[in-house]
Amino acid sequence: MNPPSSNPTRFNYRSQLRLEAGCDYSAVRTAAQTARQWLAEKKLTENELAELELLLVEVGNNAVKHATTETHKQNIVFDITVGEFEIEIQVTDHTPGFDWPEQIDLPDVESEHGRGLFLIQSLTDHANYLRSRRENVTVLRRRRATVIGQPPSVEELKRRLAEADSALSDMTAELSSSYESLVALFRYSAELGKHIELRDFSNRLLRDLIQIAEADYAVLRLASPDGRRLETLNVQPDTVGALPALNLAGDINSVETEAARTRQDIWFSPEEPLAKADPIVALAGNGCGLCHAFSFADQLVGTVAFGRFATDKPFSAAQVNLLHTFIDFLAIQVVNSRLLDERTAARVTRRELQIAADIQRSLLPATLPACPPFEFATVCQSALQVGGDFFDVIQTADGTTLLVIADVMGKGVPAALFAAVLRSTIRSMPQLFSQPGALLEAINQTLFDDLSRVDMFVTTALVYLDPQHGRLVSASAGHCPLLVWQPKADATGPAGNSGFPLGIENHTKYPQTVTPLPPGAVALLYTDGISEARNEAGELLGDHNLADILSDIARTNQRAQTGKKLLQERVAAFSGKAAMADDQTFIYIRHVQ
Amino acid sequence: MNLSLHENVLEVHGLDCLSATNSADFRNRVRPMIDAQHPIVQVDCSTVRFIDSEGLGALVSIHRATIPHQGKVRLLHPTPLVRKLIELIHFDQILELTP
Repeated sequence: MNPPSSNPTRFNYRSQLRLEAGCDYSAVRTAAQTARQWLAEKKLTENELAELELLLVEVGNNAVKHATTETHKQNIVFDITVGEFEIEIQVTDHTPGFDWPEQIDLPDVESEHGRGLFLIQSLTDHANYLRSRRENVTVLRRRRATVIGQPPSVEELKRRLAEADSALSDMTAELSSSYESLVALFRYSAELGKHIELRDFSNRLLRDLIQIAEADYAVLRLASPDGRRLETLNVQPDTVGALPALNLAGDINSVETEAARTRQDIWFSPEEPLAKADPIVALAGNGCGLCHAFSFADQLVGTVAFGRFATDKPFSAAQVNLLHTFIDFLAIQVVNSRLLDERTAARVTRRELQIAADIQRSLLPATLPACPPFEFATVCQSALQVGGDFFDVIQTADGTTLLVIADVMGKGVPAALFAAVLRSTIRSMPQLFSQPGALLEAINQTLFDDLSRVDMFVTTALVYLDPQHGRLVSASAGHCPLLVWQPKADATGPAGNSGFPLGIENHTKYPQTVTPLPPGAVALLYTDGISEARNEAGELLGDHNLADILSDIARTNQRAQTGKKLLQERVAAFSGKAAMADDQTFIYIRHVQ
Repeated sequence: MNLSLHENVLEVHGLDCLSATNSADFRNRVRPMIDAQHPIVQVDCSTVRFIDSEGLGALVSIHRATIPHQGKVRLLHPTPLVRKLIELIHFDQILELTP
């Protein structure tokens, strides 16, 4: 053990003792006893002396326990500072060190080990462990016991005043040296939670950190949303070059991918050099440094690599501690930024859906025209997201009516816009209303290019009501079949055939079907949201069940409005509590007797 | 450190400290002497000026060795530091403290 030494240049306002001890239990114990003798001269209580001796032994023993054959050769350094109100112990060792747990609990009472850190925590007001590559520093602080006794003499008060004055001067000097770090940290604290461009923030933070920690370069990468890649956000100084993204599942051997996989600090130096293929080598050669991975709620957020070009001097424990603190700020800002982006995107989506809903509502007829002897009732019910269903009822000058029902593939604004275009296109061709097949063919040719360009298609069914002959003329472009209940047969069946949906084939021909709709008969135009409604067990309603439901309702000879209501109730009863997955639209048509 | 047997008690005297430097020796000398005839270990703590976590661990080790023989560890006249530490880590639940 080396003799006690003092460091009057830095802490001359307080009493300080430095002891060096070999890395073994006996030397640690001897150092603690020497320290106790020195502390006894500082008028500490017996209890303080005993507990401080124990603290020194526990911290020193921790270093001995974690020493390797190589590090056993390096001394443990004890720095003890006795101030007016506080005692500080710094123990520096050169072992691989250990992870200081976030929470220190007592082991089971029958356990023979694991109480050292608990004792340290219990007997101090502050305990911190700064871990670096070749240097670990344990910092302990505890308040001095209050000694009640005779009031101090005038000389004693003068001495204390002088000490306090000196302490203030030295603390000012210390504060000045930490000024840059403090200013930067205060600034980052103020910026947390604000919507700041992440690249600008990280630029400033990395530049500050390079200067304060005396690094030569820093590389910040962020994990991709799927967690499979590390994408480069920032390289500082930007003059050192750029780096490609790293595939975390790939075979590139790099400190950044290793840090990301293990979530541990990975160090490199000339003795433990980077792999030749490591992108950091191409950027900065084989200096020394470390890479730190940072996470939020167990999810990898990114990595920061810091290094020095030409020296093999690793970062000190204090510098590593500072790096971690700065990166904590960075991690919070990254997560904040992502949350804000997600919130903004959600707002945009909500707004888009609102616009789409407005468009969809504007397409629906405000009132339904009369077309005796036919009557009809309509439903258009949106699922959670705005879909592409729409219907239209167009009355011609001669008193006939064209019913339109359509389902545009997709949801949101694009689907709503195509629905609007389809509506306008149909309304621009009144000369073809009585020929639904020809009308669909013309519409398909008009819209085909636009639909193809965006890979969309539309299913549509048109029904021309011919009151004079009591019949329906219909055509379908890939839409659900028109169901017709005939009172004479008391049966419901599909009417007509279908062609391709609009937007699939440019020159499609659409067959046209004429279906008699005698008095009392009922027809139903619907979208697949009705026939594909699911119950809580996930079962489909299906066309067959829908036809049975329609028969049940139609044979009771209800008015169209009542028939519509009953059909809605039957579909809802089938679905139960299952959420509506798609829009549900239908037109209930009846020939009044 | 001196060991002596008195009826069913193994007495430990002359310990000035129980720490990482001597806890293995303490453990290795005391444990083999615990048996059915001497299930109780009585440590004179009046001279123990220092104890650390390793020393406390050694006391647990001795306590565990007495359990198969329905014995116990008794600490006589612990110093304030020893008593405080024993209570801090709840060893007073398994060891007997005699003022």
